[in-house]
This record gives sequence, structure tokens and C-alpha cells, in this order.
Amino acid sequence: MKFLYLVKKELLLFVRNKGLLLFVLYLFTGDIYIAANGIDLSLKHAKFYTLDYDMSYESRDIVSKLVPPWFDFKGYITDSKEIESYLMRDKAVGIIVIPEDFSEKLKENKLDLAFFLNGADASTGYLFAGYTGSIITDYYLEKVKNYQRNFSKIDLRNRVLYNPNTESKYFLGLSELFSVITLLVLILPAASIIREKDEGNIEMILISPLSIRKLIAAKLVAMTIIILLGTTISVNLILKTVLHIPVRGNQLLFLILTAGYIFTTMGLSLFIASISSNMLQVSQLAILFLLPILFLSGSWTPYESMPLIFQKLTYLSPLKYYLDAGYAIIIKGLDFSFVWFYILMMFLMGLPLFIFGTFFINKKL
Amino acid sequence: MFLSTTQNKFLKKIKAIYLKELKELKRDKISRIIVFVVPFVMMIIFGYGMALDVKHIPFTVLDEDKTSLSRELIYKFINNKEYFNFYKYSNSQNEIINLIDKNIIRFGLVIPSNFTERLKNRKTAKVQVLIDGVFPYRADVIKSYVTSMINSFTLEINNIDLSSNLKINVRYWFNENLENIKLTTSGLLAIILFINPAIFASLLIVKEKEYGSIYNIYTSSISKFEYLFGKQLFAVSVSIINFIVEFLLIKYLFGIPFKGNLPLFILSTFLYILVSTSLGLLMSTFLKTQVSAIVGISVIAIIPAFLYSGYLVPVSSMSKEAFIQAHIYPTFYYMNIIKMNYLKGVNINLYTLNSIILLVFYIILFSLTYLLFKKKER
Repeated sequence: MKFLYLVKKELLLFVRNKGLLLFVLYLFTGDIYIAANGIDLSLKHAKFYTLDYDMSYESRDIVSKLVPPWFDFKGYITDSKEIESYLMRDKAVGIIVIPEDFSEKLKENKLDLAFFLNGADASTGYLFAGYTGSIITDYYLEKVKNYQRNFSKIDLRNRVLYNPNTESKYFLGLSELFSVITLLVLILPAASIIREKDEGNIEMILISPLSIRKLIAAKLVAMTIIILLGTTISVNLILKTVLHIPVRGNQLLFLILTAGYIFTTMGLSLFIASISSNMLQVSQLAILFLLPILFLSGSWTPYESMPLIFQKLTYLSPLKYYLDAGYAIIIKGLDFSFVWFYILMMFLMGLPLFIFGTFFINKKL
Repeated sequence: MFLSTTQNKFLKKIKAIYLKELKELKRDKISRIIVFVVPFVMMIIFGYGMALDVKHIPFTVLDEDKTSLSRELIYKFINNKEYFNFYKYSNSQNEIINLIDKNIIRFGLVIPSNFTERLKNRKTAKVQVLIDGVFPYRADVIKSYVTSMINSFTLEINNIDLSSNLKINVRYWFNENLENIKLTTSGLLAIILFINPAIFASLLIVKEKEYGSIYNIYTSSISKFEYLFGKQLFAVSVSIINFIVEFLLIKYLFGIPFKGNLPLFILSTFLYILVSTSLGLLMSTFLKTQVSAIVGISVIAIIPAFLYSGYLVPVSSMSKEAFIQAHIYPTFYYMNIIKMNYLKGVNINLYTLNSIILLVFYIILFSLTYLLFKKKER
């Protein structure tokens, strides 16, 4: 009973801190919406200009193959000197240069053109080259097929599972939610423990019948409730209703998984609280933990692209398990038989952290 | 005479605030170290790990044809060790999907049983590829890799010599070998010098509110400007040390040549740090607790720094909302300055324009802080 009052006290404290409440609400709603909707890591609306020395039917035809939503043809330029200026001002991802004899050569089954790409936008430049390369090869193959009667063609059918149109928002919305949860679980418990210390409440508790352990447990329970509530709002309101991301799996299972992740990460937060004595330290330590956790989870860069050491280190990031299982539940719609392993791994990882955290904090207070 | 004494007093008060913060940091053993360690660690982790190029993608093959031609195609993939990493053969589509679910492979190639027959009869043969769509960027890249592999195979079986007939010359301007690392490491300056100074500064005033020591300020003769500027100066000097460390790391550890104009670059970096610290101070003035200041500054600083600066996604190809949003955040302008100094070469007009915008950001943010900071309890 006493414990429940403590939990209630923590919840009230949280709700009454208007600034914090607003920010946390924003993190679970607006922030996720913006991150999911505003940014697209795939090639979309890549602006390009054409410097066409040929101006033939064929040259215009090939430019017309580069269509939205991947490409955005902005017009012709007339002078090669303009290339530099357009790329310098980031007005285009690339510029296509079609030589004078383009249509002539095409009649002899030869295709010759050039791309000047903005190397300062490396990731898009990469995709731009890949996409245009295959479109132009396709164009070329069609042409040759018309000339050469005996032509064997391979038709490649792409099927992207779970996200047929490779929409970034599926991924970014969820990974933002995971990042938000990580940030809050790292900072909130540590901050609220340090605050009690700062305000001298710990001394009060020492002489009261309450134990510090109970107080901390109440804080952790309260934070868990807040974050699970936020997650539910976020999944249903933002992901499902506003962003139209298909939530295929069982939401209860997702909440259990989230609780497992909160448990693991709270162990870290307790650890932060136990070694820091003021909020500057809490904030800096939280960032110090947050970035490797986020980074090594593979939520920002594809796992395969990381250096080998980093790939091995990802197994130490609790977020990796949460992320893999979270996508599995929400996007892939897999059930407990798939996810149990991840929950177990998080639990095994969290247990020592939690024990150490409580041990240190008891020692310190 | 009178002027100089007031000026003297003015500087003295700013100095007092500055020294107070310096002493506080000096006495706080953990903070003293960690304030400099965090940016360093960020630089190392992101500098080494932020790679967007997709390579060594694990894949499987379901070969229903089992002829020499289908194997030839498969070996093309297997032997391309830079981009692909062969896991093993699969026996059914379900097995492929299962392997994708378990994150063991990222795509599976399906060659149907009539593959060779159709090609021999000069008909179109179908090949299917199943791709893991969880990470859309990666799925897109895989799609384009597989397409270009299949295309070149098509040309080969039709005896069309690719190299003499199909010439697509690709040149990357500013960055010949398209080394992502040039952008990912130098671009980190824009991110680290935004997040860290902002968080550091966001606690400077609110902590005094929480401890109650702000009453000393309320009752003292110090002016609002002197107080705020003293605090800001301290945050700036901490950040400048961090800047120097990061600059040297980029140059000597990552070996990215600096080809811009150093004095100009330092000047605009200084402006940028003024902007990010002002943002922190602004949060610090209108919030009441340190927790809310930290969470608030994370909301305002971390996401935009990464997403809207042009670090991950070029601003030019953003959707309209995002495009506008990117222009509201100062990170975008400093990123332009960085790109000029490390990749593009300095264009003085653009340089001045971006720097002036940073200056405007500073003036707006600092004035807002000045107006919102009240020398009395609210």
C-alpha cells in the first residue's frame, strides 16, 4: 500500500512538471511524426539538369525515362560552366551530359553519355548512379532488342517484403520511437534520483520508516508506466492512425518486449545515477551511453556497412535486440515463438546491470 | 574617465560569472573530464562507424533450374565478394522468407525451372528477388545492385560487349572516389558542435534556479546582459577547446584534408557555437528544472542536427515540409560551410551568406534569451 502511494507520488510529480510533461508528450508524438515523414533515405525527387548537345528525339527520350517519384527533371542547361555552379549551390544531385553524336551512335547500337554527380551528397549520389545506370541499361536493351531479333532477355521481378514501396517512414518512425524510449529511460530515472539527492530528500527518507530501495523501486515503476503509456499512444495514434504504418503484430507482445527493454536500460540509468552527483554529469553520461547504444543497434546505418569490430559489438547494444524484435512484431507480424529469444537476451543483459546499479546506488546514498 | 570605469566594471562582472563557472567545473572531477570526453567519443564512434555504403550483403539462392546457365548467373553473384556474401542454397520460397525474418540474409534470388529453356528459345525469362524491406534504404540499394548484375548478365548471354558499346561515364564532383568518410567525418563537426554546447549551456541557468543560488543574482547589481553573456562566454570557451580537438582528429586521425580558408572557418565556427550555446541558454531561462532542460534540448537539438542538416539526407531532395524545416535550423547553414571547406572549395559569396545567416540566428536567439530572462521570481 505504502508502495502504491509512492508510485502515485512519482506520477503526480511527473505530471506537475509541465515543461517535462510537454516535452515527453512531444517526443512520443510530434517528434516521431516529423522524423518519419520529413526524411526519406531512399532516392526521392532527386533533382537533375541535362546538358544536351544532341537535342535529338533519342536524347529527349532517354531523359524522359527518369521519372518521379525517384527523379525530378528541372530543365536544360546550355553551358558546361554552369555544371560547377549548380552543384556548388546544391541545386541538383546530378547533371546528365549527352554528347553531340548520341543519336548517331545509338543507331550503331552504341550508347555514350556522362553523369556529373554531387559528391558532397554521397548517399544520394550513390543511389542516383545506381538507378540511372539500370534505367539506361534497360533503355539500351530495349533498343537493341528491336534491332536484334534473336535476343534473350531476363526480366527481374523485385519483391520487397513487408514494405513493397520501400517507404522510409516505416523504418524511421519505428526507429525514432526506439530512440525516444532509449533517451527517456536513460535520463528520467537517473535524473529523478539525483534530484532527490540534490534537494536533500534522501536524508529525510533515511530517518523515516521508508527504505531508499522502495523509493527507487517506486520511481522505476512510475517511469515504466509513463513510458509504456507513451509507447501505446505513439503506436496507435502516430504510427497507425497518422502515418498509416501497418501494425501487423500483437501490441501486447510489443509492450512486453518494451518492458523488457526498459528493464535493461534502466539498469544503465541506475548505474549513471550511482556515479554522478549532479545533473551535468547525468546529462553527459547519458549521452555517452546513448550514442553507442543507438549507433550500434543498426538503426542508423545498415549492420552490414559497419566495420567488423562494430558488427561484433552490436551484440552488446540492448537496442539491437529490441530493434530486431520490435520490427519483427510490428512490421513483420511475427509472434512469441520468434520473439522469446530476444526478450530472454534482454533480460539476461539487464539482470547484471540492474543488480550492479542497485548495489552501487545503495552504497552511495 | 567615467566611460572607462563603467566599462571596467562591466568586464569585471562578466569575468566574475565566468570565473565562478570555471571554478565550479574545476572542482567537479567527473564533469571536468566528461565534458571533453563526450565529444571525443562521438567523433571516434561516428567517424569510424557512420558508413552508408551497403556492402557484403548476405543472400541465398533458390535454383529451380539447376542448369549450367543458372549456375553461371549464381556464380556471378557469389564471386562478387565486395557486395555480396553467399549464405547457402535454399529449397523453397518459405525458407527464404524464414531466413529473412531471422535476419540471416537480406535477399534471396529465385531462378525458376524454365530459365534456361526460355533463354535458349529467345524468350524473356523471369528471375525473382525477395528483399528484406525493414531497412528501406538498404532494400533500395540491394535492388539497384541486383538489377545491374542481371543487366550485365543479359548483355553477356547476348554476346554484346558491354565495355565498347555502353559507356556511362560517372564522375563525382568535389569527391572523386565518392569517399563517404569525407562527408561523414567532417559533417560531424556540425552535429557535435550543435548538440554538446547546447546541452552544456542548457543547464547553466536552470541549475542555479534549482539550487536557489539564482537569488544572489536577483539581488545583485549585475545586469541581465552581463550575467547571460558571462555564462555564454564560459560555454563557448569549453566548446572551442572541443572544436580544436575535433578539428585535429579529422585532419590527423581520419586524414581528411582541409582545403578551405582556416581563419574564415574558425570565424564561422565561432558564430555557430554562439548560436548553439544561445539555444541552450534560451531553454535554460524559461524552464524550471534541469531534467526538463535536458529532455527539452535533446528534443530541439539532437533530431534536427542529424536529420535536417544535410548530414544523412541532402536537403535538395527533401520533401517540401522537410525542406522548409531544414532552412529553419542553423545546422544546415554550418553544414554548407563545412562542405565548402572540406569538399567543394570556398565560394566567398555563399560563404558570407551562410555566415550572415548564422549571425542572424545568434542575434535572434540571444535577444530572446535576454527578453525572457527576468531578474525576479516568476
